Amino acid sequence: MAKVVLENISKHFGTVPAVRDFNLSIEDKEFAILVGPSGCGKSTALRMVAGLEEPSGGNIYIGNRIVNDLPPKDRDIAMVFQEYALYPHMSVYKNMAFGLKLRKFPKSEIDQRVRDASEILGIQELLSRKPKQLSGGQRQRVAVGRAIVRKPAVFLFDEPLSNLDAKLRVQMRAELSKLHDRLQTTIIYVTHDQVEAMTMGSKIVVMKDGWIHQVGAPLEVYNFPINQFVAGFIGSPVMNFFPCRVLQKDSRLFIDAEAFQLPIPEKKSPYYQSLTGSEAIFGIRPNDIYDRLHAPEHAKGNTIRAVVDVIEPLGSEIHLNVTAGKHNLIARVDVQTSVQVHQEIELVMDLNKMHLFEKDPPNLRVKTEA
Amino acid sequence: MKRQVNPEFQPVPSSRTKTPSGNMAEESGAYLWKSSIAKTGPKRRDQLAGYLTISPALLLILALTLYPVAYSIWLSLLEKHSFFPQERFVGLENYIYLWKDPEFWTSLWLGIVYSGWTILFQVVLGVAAALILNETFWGRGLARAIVLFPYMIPTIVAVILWKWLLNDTYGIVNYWLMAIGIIMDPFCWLGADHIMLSVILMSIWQFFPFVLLSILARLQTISPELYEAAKVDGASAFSRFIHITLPQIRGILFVVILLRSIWMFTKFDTVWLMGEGAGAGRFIRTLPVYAYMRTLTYYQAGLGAALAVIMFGILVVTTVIYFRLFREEADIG
Repeated sequence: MAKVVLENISKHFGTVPAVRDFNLSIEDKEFAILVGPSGCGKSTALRMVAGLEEPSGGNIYIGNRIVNDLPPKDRDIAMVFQEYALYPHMSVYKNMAFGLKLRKFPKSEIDQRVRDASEILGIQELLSRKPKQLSGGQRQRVAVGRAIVRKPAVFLFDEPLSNLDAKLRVQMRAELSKLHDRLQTTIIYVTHDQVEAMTMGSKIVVMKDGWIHQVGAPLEVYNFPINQFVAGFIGSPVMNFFPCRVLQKDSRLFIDAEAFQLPIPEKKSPYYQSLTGSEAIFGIRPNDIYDRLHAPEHAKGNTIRAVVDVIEPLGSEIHLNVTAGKHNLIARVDVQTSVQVHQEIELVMDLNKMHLFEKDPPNLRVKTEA
Repeated sequence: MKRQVNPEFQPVPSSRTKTPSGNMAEESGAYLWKSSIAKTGPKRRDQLAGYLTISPALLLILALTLYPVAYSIWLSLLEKHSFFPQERFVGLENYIYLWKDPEFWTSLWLGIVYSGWTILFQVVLGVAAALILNETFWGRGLARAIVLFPYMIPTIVAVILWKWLLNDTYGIVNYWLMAIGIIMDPFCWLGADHIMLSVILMSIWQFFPFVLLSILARLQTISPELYEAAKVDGASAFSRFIHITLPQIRGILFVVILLRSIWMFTKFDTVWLMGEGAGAGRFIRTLPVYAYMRTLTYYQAGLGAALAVIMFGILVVTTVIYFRLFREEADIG
């Protein structure tokens, strides 16, 4: 049972900053996900919690202890590595028992724990095999098994699914969620895959260039991204952005994107009032753009014309890459949409779901909620 | 090996091969018959082409390896002068002579002492140095380059250098040892009592970089994640060496020890140059040196060949035993 707190943590490699001014509190039993593009410092942050990297400044607490000066083995953590890091000359059983053996657990206890863990993970049949005789997914399970036999206060996962094929990744995602549910232990999980972050985490931490950009529950981050980077990073397909100008006509606010103008919904207007006459970045997710013929009632009315460049039929939905004026957009439309490349299509946008971002970095989103 | 599905093996769908349903034996017979007919012609040609393409390499091996070995064995059965065309078949007489020759037994023993100690310390020192040079520290690149020098210096230069360093009257080794008070009087490094120690020390210095280089290359391929996983599991530096490093370098260690053993047991130049002119040379007269002397000092080519064949035999037997003992490592290596 442990809460993990990182307080003013920073880390430099030589003169290169990897993690800056990092403040994060992870509650007991929480499934926290550090997510961001490569080189954002998420792995470094995790490795500092593990004790494999020393912070250049700040304090790390696990439970109520400051662990800055404790070696990894005394931090009551277990870690699952990206390349699994199974000991190649040891059997699966020995791989899982190794940590317990070093901690001088009695043989019967070790045996019990290894068998329990292998049952949870469904690898009872593999205990006598060597790692090289296992498939990627099986190795992954053994690596997880090696962590859970220790019954640590905190689990650390460093991109554990990135070496698996797409199908297995989906399956393991669900299994890890189940495992967390069953073990009820704090998990800190690093990934560059926003889908993993959205589906597994109870708290996600979006990072870039060593900074934390946003911390929140998955849907909170999805619906109310703090800036353009987070908005673009979370969600698939990626949110559409294009520069625009906010105009006032009569008493209504409009988005002017040169090729087309869109009225801002009245309940959002008060928030955007101050932007009148200035430039901004308009953002809307592909799933909030509809083919006019299949659009729901609430979205109708804001039609734009666009030319279809690419059609990606996915079976359950269609992704259209279109050009409207000089802007390229992606729209996720209904499967019944019948359209051909180079054809013009009428799209409608659900402007209740629109976002506006400040034009100047750090491209903060203009808040529209209380 | 699993047989590939080959179009030639497919039964030909013609009316001839069709048999009444249920008659499996005949059916499979037709299958085999068809396939063997289809196979013979091209297979022969393929085999011939195969032999032709490997024949240059095969001839080279025959000429450079098998012929000299066979000729040595033949020579060892002769009483033959090294230069003059005098020879006489004597059967196993050379071997019987050596069996009764105390000089042979002494040189065999000296050879074992020399190769045993040099191999042991080359490996220990080489592995230790490789572990150090695998760590990250300032000036590592330079250290890695410098440490290879002993192996790159020509043997003759190295030996002359060491003879100077170890000289009992003007050598700097004695000077320093006396200066720091380890010895009171000059130590006779190249005298009868200590020349074996000197040649062993020198050989360790000269050849440990080979072990270092091989082990270092392997160490660099070990995933750092393994060590990190072990750290998290609670392994101390020592147990990380035992449980991760050692199992990982076992395969290459097997090969390195094998090669160094063969090379040290047959080492001639270093030992010969060190002993020559030092007066105490016969105290380091190992088997290769003795074989050389029989052939080119006493001109007894037959006896020299017999010594060479004995060395060859010893190496073959120990290598076979070595492979048997460390079968697992041999597989990894």
